[in-house]
Amino acid sequence: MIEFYNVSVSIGQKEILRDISFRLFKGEFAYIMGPSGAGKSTILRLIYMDLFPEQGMVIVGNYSSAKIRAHEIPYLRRELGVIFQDFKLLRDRNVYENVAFALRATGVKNSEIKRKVVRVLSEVNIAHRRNNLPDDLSGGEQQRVAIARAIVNDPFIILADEPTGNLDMHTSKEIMEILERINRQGTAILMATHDQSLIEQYPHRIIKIDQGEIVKE
Amino acid sequence: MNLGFSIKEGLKGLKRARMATAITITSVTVALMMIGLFIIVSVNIDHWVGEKRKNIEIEAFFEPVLNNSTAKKLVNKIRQMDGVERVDYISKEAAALRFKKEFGRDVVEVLGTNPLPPSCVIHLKSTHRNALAIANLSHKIKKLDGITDVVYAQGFLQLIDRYVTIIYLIIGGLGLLLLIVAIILIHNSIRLIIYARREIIEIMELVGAKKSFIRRPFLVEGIFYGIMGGILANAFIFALIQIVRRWLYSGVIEAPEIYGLILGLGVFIGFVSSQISLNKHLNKLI
Repeated sequence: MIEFYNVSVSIGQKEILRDISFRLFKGEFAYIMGPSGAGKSTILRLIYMDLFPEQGMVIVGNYSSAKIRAHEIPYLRRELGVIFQDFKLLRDRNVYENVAFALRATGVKNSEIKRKVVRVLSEVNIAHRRNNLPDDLSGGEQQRVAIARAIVNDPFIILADEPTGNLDMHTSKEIMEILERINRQGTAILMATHDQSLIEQYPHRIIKIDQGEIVKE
Repeated sequence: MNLGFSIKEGLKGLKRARMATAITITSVTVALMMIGLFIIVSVNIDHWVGEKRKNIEIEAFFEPVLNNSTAKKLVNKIRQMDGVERVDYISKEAAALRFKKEFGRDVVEVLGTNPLPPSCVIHLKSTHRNALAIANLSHKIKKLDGITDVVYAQGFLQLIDRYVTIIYLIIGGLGLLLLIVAIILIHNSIRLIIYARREIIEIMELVGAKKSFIRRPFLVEGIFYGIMGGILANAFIFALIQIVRRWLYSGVIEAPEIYGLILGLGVFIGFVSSQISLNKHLNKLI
């Protein structure tokens, strides 16, 4: 489903990833683990094709980094869900609008938007806050909204870039429980983290990278 | 794709940056108003010059010995010439009557004979009412056998041609400059808006919005600036014309097409400048 073949990436003079190869299968949950600057976020960017390898190839579903055209990238991204440490919510729109925005931006009909948004807000247990602005929410609630937005298009994979990085342990566990539930429903999860204790509590496959190389799998 | 969503997003953007919106609309209004006024001035100058040119005619004098039938043959020759609209023949007798009418004395009584030559007044087609065409035509007429002299307001024509060209060039140059200024103003506003909204752009990208969809709200904003600038400029131009007509000069020509032109120009510069800005700045982000 996701395949990295001998991928190398440099930004400027700095080599970020060196000869990385791995596969992620359908419905799998895996961590990319490593210290800050190891190249975790770069791997996620390569998957949603915000970045392209200098050498090697990345395959995501039916798309290949070597062949994809610029106008196809939005269609690839509609099959993925992405969440970040800083949530990336629109501060001037309420919870409902933040999630609905993802559908509107991809041309989904209004009648479908309401049904889908209500469903995902309930799934992540934030429906009761649907009219609140992000600034009225706790960090955990904001991340739940971000997850709702990521799953509203029914992606086959969620890419999570340090999703618990800004949260306390209790809230981090809540978020992990939600991600576990989503994974059990068949959506693959690839999560970048350096939180060893969280990995121990929710054990899954670990791809450990350091200084741009896979050091352990 | 939902156009309504793009329009709504575009208008939301305007509301969010009220001050920038107000400044841009004001600047575009001023630029369009100046362009509109330049066009009004040009139209009025053109009308005035046209009126003056209408009165320009060539007068050709025949040899005094020429009898009426030979003179009329010459008149017919002149009628066939390119650029001639109408030729009025003035016989010796008619010339004497004209003399009496103008000076109150009978030329035959004063001199004992009528020395006035037969002549003709040549009216020109509108395409030939310029210095060069008239000079060419006069030259041709002068070469005809039986013509002694050809007279027209050569100095006046040259003056009009020279200065009108200069005025049009100045007006056209200033108009173009203002057009560029208006485009730069909207371009800058859109650039700032793109920068202020890089977060929403990033989110749109992440959720899989197409490039064209991301661009559309910004285009809506640019066009809105142009439309608002056009409407306000039109209102000012209309008011100014009414004031000038009432207090300064009632003969001002309004040229109603100007209002459509200014509005169209507003839409055009709004579209073009936001396109330039999007191509230059949005492509760095997406």
